[in-house]
Amino acid sequence: MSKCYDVVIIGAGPAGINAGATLAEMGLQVVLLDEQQSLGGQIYRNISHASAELLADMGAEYQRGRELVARFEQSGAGHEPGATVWHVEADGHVYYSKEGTSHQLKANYVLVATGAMERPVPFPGWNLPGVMGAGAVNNLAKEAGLVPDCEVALVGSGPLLLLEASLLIKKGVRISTILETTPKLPPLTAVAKLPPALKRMDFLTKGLKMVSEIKRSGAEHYKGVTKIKALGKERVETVEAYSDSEQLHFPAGLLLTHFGVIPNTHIFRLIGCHLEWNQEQRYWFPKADQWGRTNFEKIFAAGDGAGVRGALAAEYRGELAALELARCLGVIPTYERDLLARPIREAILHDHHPRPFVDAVYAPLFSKETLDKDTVLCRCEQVRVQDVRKAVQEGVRDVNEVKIVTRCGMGPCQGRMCGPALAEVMAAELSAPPERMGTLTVRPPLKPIPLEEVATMELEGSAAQPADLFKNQSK
Amino acid sequence: MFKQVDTQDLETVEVVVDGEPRKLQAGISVMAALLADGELNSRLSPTSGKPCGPHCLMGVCFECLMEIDGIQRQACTTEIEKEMVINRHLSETGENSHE
Amino acid sequence: MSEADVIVIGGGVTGAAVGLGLLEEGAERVVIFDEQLPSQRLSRGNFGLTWFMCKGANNPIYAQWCRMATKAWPAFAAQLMEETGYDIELEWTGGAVHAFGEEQFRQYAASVEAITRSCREVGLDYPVRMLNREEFAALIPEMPLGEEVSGAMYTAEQGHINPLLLLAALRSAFQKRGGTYKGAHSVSAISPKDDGSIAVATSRGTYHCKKLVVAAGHGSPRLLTPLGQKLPIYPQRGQLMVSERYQRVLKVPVLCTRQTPDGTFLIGLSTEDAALSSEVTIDAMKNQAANAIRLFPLLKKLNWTRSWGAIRVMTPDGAPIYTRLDRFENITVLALHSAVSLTPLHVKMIAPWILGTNEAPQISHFSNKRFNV
Ligand SMILES: Cc1cc2nc3c(=O)[nH]c(=O)nc-3n(C[C@H](O)[C@H](O)[C@H](O)COP(=O)(O)OP(=O)(O)OC[C@H]3O[C@@H](n4cnc5c(N)ncnc54)[C@H](O)[C@@H]3O)c2cc1C
Ligand SMILES: Cc1cc2nc3c(=O)[nH]c(=O)nc-3n(C[C@H](O)[C@H](O)[C@H](O)COP(=O)(O)OP(=O)(O)OC[C@H]3O[C@@H](n4cnc5c(N)ncnc54)[C@H](O)[C@@H]3O)c2cc1C
Ligand code: FES
Repeated sequence: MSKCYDVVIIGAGPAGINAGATLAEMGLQVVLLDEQQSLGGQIYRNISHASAELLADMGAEYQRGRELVARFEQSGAGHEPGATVWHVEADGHVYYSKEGTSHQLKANYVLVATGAMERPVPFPGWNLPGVMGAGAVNNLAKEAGLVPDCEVALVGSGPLLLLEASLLIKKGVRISTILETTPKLPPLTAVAKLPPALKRMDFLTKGLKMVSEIKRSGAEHYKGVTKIKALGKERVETVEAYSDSEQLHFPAGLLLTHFGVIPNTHIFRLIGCHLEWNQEQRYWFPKADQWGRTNFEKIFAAGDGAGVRGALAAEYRGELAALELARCLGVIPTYERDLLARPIREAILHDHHPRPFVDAVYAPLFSKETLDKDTVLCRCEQVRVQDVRKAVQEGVRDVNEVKIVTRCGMGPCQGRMCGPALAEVMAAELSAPPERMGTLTVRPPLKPIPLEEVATMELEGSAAQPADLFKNQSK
Repeated sequence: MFKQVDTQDLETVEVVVDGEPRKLQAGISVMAALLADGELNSRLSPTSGKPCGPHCLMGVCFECLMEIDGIQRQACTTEIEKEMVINRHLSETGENSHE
Repeated sequence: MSEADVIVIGGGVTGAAVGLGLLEEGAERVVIFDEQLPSQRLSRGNFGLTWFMCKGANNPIYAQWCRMATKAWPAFAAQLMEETGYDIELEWTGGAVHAFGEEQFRQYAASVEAITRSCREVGLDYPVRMLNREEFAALIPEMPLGEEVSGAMYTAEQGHINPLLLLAALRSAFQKRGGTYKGAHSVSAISPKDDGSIAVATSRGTYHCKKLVVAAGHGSPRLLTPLGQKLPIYPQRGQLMVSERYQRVLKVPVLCTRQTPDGTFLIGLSTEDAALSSEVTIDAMKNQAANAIRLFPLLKKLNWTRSWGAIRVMTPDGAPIYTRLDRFENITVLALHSAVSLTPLHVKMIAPWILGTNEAPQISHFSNKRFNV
């Protein structure tokens, strides 16, 4: 394998695949790295090996992934499956681990297309075995053909929660309840955003159909629930919540949670990319120009990792980034880039119509009351909400400072699961906006690797200086 | 907990889980293979000592860390291979669960 | 409150310790301003050794100062933990510097002899000795040594702590004694007034005080330049890496590797000229990991989970700068390396000196003036 590329793409979801195919078709040297074993990312996970039944279950949108993958495989772009990227430098060096060996690559440009993750929202009992992300169960179906074999409860908010519920119903899974934290009536901000959404009746109809399917299944469905708790001894057994003042109690062999999707910004923070705050969706995303170029000349961002807009937009944005990269590398002139970009931008616009409305309906809610003092905020290090509040009372004002005092965010997940809620807890405590609390600093490695692996890796031109702590104390 | 929808021509691999030989579904991640075989726990939390189970199945939460061939790895991003030695150390009382 | 008796700029381990000491010594109305800048993380990114070994080879007064600090540590830690409820994880198990091969072993032995001699000249003992390979192995029986390890330089009279919890505990003790700690307050200017008071402009308003302590690490020069004061410090980067938890096998800290009570290994010893960049370099990671494995092969299979860089405040001769400004006697500047090790003295001796209630004889040797001759 070569060690130098025009573009190294990280993440083989729709954004990465489409960018890779476009670039390779133009004759550029590209390689696509992904820690998964096959192409597809989150949405098209394992699509190349999907059974006929799964394809039918998942619908036409899932099938679109097959065409993407087929085009990629034709294009001549390189693909390294099972390659976990653990460091990226702004000058274009990429470090990854594969089958127990780490490698260093040099890229003229790096396209980061590492996607999104479910927003982690801590509540009492969320760390019990059997409480899983709705996306986790979706992944198990795609990857391994598994479906829940017990009574399932779902909690949270957002269209993907309802989508997952309707998929499970289709497969005959028993659903004890769906508890939505979304308010019973949409906020006024949403109503104002309805007109553009009406341009996409196809989309809205699908949503309504999903809701009616859920209704028909007879699953108990509540909106505006509060104070969710997962209960059980060694694993989750029941879920408890409140609807107005009524206490709800349902059996839950599995409790699936979903509170929307946020960009996974760890890799951008590692590189040092500037981030921006999305006030409505309460998440950080990398600052980028219309082609996905970040504040670093060599680092591009595309897909949901650059701001959540869904799989189609990810695909389109991957292509836009590819066009600009091809221009930067001197393969196409500016006017051609713009010509090729025009229909893609139109498609993005068309795809985008309903999103502001949907986003407003499912805008996340946070307040001092949402986070119970005993809730485990940091699952890795068992840090509770009250520990963070104590630190704030002792004058701590930055998330990184909380981390050093409480260990919140210091465990193996490096703050992926607690970081967003940590800022919310601090902000609520100080009555300040969460974006003022800062973000946890990310340092290599992005994912743990054995010490021996880094000790034995090959690096180009090593320049380490010998250490001498006492050199200024010799006479 | 989970069942296989499509049980036709499933391939299996032989591995060792917590000291016992076991046949698990091939071609998927270690975590998915364990779930498919009725397991929910991945390890004991080194900080609380309580059992953990996988949460995200996409490499984010690190709840599926377990010792695979002598190294702590995320079981949901590690593909199962024949003769793997998997240790979850579910019965240990000590703080650290290696070796 | 915008009036204070003493203001301390910088709430790192130096500022927090001195602030606590000022209150213990009877000062009232003490305020600490701390920016908590993610880029200035020296007190949040160090190794946590409370050591005297090897320090002061060129300067017996500094060697003595370090010894005094380590001697004071166990009692100081007990008091701090009692007062705050924070467990700072003090372990007083000694400390070692390993040697690879015979040549390095001989060099270390010679340096022990040299420092012992120079300490003796000022009537100080230097309880450090060389351990051969077998003795070193016997000291840490659960942690097998790599083949090339020839022995170690060792003392029983030092230890290690959790530096992060030390910082939290100092801050907590300071507040419990009535001090005011202002996080996220950045000082932008110091203006001495004709009446002898000092105005301190912060990002959230101006404060006035009678005495001022500047302990802002690499943030100090910018505050002192307008007062016509040059601070002869320079940056030196150190990078550290940390492993996942493992059962407790290494109970004596070594200069480049120590295991914390919760089981993680801290690894690293780099002294780089990188100006103010706290970036992590993979070069250094590779070197440090290889070095640690050479010392303790058991580390091979352990996961590396995190790394960071921090920028030491270094002085030309390695000893601290504790100095009053020539033109403004009520402004004290503290700038140094090894502030964790020296913490007990910052509380018990530097604070009284700042207030003028007591002056330990060593302190005058650490004045900035020594660089003018
Ligand atoms: C859990 C979940 C479930 C979803 N379910 C649905 C659904 O049912 N329907 C729907 O329409 N949309 C769904 N979405 C949204 C949809 O997945 C995204 O819009 C779309 O996948 C975005 O594509 P992408 O190319 O940006 O990134 P992704 O498809 O997320 O791909 C990112 C890829 O990057 C890889 N990666 C990340 N970090 C690294 C690293 N350090 N090293 C190597 N590889 C790395 C990942 O393995 C992944 O393959 C879901 C999202 C999530 C998070
Ligand atoms: C890798 C490494 C390992 C080390 N290991 C050890 C060890 O084992 N033992 C040991 O004793 N020492 C060790 N040290 C040295 C030790 O970390 C330092 O001596 C110590 O942290 C210095 O603390 P400080 O409070 O003086 O400075 P800092 O920690 O830099 O504190 C200065 C504070 O002032 C604040 N500040 C700056 N400007 C302003 C402003 N304008 N307004 C308000 N606030 C401001 C900053 O935000 C910061 O919080 C190590 C250092 C490194 C880099
Ligand atoms: S289950 Fe979350 S990382 Fe594997």
